[in-house]
Amino acid sequence: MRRNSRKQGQVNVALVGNPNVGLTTLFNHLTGGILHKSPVEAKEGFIKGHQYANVMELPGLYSLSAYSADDISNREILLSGIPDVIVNVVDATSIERSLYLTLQLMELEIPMVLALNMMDEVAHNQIDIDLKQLEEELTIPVIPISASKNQGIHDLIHYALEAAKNKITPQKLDFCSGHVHNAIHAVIYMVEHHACAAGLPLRFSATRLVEGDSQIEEALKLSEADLEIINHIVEDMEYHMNTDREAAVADMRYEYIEELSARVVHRPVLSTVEQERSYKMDRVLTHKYLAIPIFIGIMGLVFYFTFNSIGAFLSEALGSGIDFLVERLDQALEAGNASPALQALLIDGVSAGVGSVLSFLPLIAVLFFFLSILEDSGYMSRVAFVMDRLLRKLGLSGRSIVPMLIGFGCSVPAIMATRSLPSRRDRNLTIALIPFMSCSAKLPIYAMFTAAFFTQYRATVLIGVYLTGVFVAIVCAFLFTKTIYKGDPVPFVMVLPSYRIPSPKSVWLKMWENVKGFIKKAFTVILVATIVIWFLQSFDMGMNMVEDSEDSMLAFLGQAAAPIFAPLGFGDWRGATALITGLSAKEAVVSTMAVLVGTGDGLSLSAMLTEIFTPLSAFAFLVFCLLYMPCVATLAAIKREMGGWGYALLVVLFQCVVAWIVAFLVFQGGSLILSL
Amino acid sequence: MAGGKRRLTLDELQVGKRAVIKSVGGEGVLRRRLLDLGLTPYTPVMVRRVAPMGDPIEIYLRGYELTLRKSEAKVIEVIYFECSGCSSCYFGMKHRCPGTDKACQMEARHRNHHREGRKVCHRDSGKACERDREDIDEKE
Repeated sequence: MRRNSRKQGQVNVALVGNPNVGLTTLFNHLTGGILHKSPVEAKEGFIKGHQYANVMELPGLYSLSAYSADDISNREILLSGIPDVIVNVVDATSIERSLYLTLQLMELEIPMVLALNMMDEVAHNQIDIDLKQLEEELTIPVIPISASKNQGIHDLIHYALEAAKNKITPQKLDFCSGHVHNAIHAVIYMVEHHACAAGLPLRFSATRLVEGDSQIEEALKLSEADLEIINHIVEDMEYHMNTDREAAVADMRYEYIEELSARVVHRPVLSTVEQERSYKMDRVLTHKYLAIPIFIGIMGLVFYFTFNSIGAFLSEALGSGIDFLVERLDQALEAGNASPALQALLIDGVSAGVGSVLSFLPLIAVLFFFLSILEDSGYMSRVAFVMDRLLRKLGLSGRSIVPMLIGFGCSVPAIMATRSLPSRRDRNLTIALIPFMSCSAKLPIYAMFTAAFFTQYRATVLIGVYLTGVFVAIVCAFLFTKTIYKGDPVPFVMVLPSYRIPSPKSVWLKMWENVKGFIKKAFTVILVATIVIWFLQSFDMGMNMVEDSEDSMLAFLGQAAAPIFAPLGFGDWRGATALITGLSAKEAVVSTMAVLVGTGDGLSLSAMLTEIFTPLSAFAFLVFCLLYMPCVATLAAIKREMGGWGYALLVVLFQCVVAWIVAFLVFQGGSLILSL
Repeated sequence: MAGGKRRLTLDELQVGKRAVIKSVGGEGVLRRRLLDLGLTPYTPVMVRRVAPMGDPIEIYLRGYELTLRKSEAKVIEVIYFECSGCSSCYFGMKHRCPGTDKACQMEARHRNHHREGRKVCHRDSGKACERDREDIDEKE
């Protein structure tokens, strides 16, 4: 795990703290939001004005016990020897809970400073914290800051870098008492050499061994005899404490913290103003009957602004801007006597493909603007609280609801939004289900087919298609949770933060991060994909440019693939070809269909379609479009979030199979019913 | 109530009612997470609200709010007490409780016993702590 790529003189600062204590806000103030690539699972950037200081933000955590995958990766980073100093961010309004992690971090024997965040709230709640005494008790520098108000950051940087330079580790580690104390010290004595050999901090190893940690046992290479003695020590402690090892150690830590905070923190009233306010707001927002309508209302507004008013307006503006540029480029190429092949590639291939994808950019920006506000304000936690019961029936947690809903708009931001899910299992499961939520890009396909076949029952057919998607997602969720994602369901236990006004800077940075990711994708994966499809569409097998796409390689592929779709009722090669081009973007199904059927005109297109499809096979075709593999942009997002092509390809295969089966059932079942 | 002691778990506690945690059961990640978040024995908790569909619940302890599912709350055994006539009784700050309330008194006494007791326990194998547990159970 040790990284040797460290540059000379570089100082690594690790930001560690509970979730929702303002880690990201602080990180953004320190770095200005400029990230660089991180070899570990953390966000990294350089501190503004101190280019040698590299700061990494670890995902929020409550303790150093290693149960979940996320916890383990956190702990690995901290034990890797990379961090030169730990900045432990603590919520000063809820000091008791936060110090629990602090005590564990101190055991790592890495230089450390304590950043008491939210001091502005502490001040206006007239809570009195004796900083000097806290510093003396903990033997580490304590710096009061307010990340949201940008106060105390300079001091924090100064003390953190000082601590790193002088390698001042916490002086006092002995927070234990009674039987736990005896046990820990007995174990320390035993494993001293092992810890030294394994390069692990001694005190930390001993405490973890008393708590019970097979990973540390392995890392220390303890012999059977050693383990037996440790077990004896622990059993003795358990007997005297009348409880088990985990509870004994946790209780010991909290008891120390209670005593400490009794001496150091003085509160005039019971709850803070923010807590009282949240309490009142939650009476409405999580009300028995109002909660769900309010949630639907809020999401409805977000969708309206994104896909209808602001986002759509910006999207159109950008689209026409791109068209204008493409036209200019076209003229320039014309004037420059470029070869027709190059011209076709640049105009019909690249510009049309990447351009149409880029025009989604404003939608993504607007959507993430609103989602960041909902997330940072604390409302998302309430949504999880309200919706959990419903989603648990599918083996998901309440937090999955928001990404799933965004999926109805566009799968790409939906998959990116799964990052807020705390567990890998929930994240993977949610990502696998999102493509079944019919995205807005499929709407043109539905529009074309319903206009041709179901003029009277357009709405019914549309609703039917959407519900089919949801139904298939539910069935698949069941299948997944009964098979590959059977594993331990992750506990829902979650701290509810008080409602806070989101900081504009962090909202802006979150939005920008997503927009940047999307642009990058448009110019890499999507660019390549559009060129490939254009190439297939424009050349025949003899590498000659074709006038009519009927002779192209793509049509050839379509003809080869057509028999696969015959049992689904649409064995015509044009349908198959349209489905293949739909991989670049779902709207392409419509444009390809229009080109292949031989007319761009709406009316006669409908007429032509009725020659290829029957109403039943048209419906099967729609169902297949709904479910089959997601577009290239979604695929790239899946690959990025899941960290590999392997899983992404698995998802593709899975969805194609599901789509085929469902469309098969629809067509064959429908034929059966019709023949009766 | 002699002999008729009924196990009360956190999920059965009504909204607005308070209790002291007696023991935390469960295993693996769940138990670890509960202990890490400060649901340790003798910590006072209060049920804040129940989600619209009856599950999960929101509780208040150590000065912050936490949500958990009823199935998860089921592993936490609690001792119920009525906190009356003690308007400033604040859980997690029992050391500052004026001590007019019986339950608060009990709690404060327990804490003291427990602390002193540990020094004693060290020698006489936890009798002081044992006695005190029974004390709480009786009040229940």
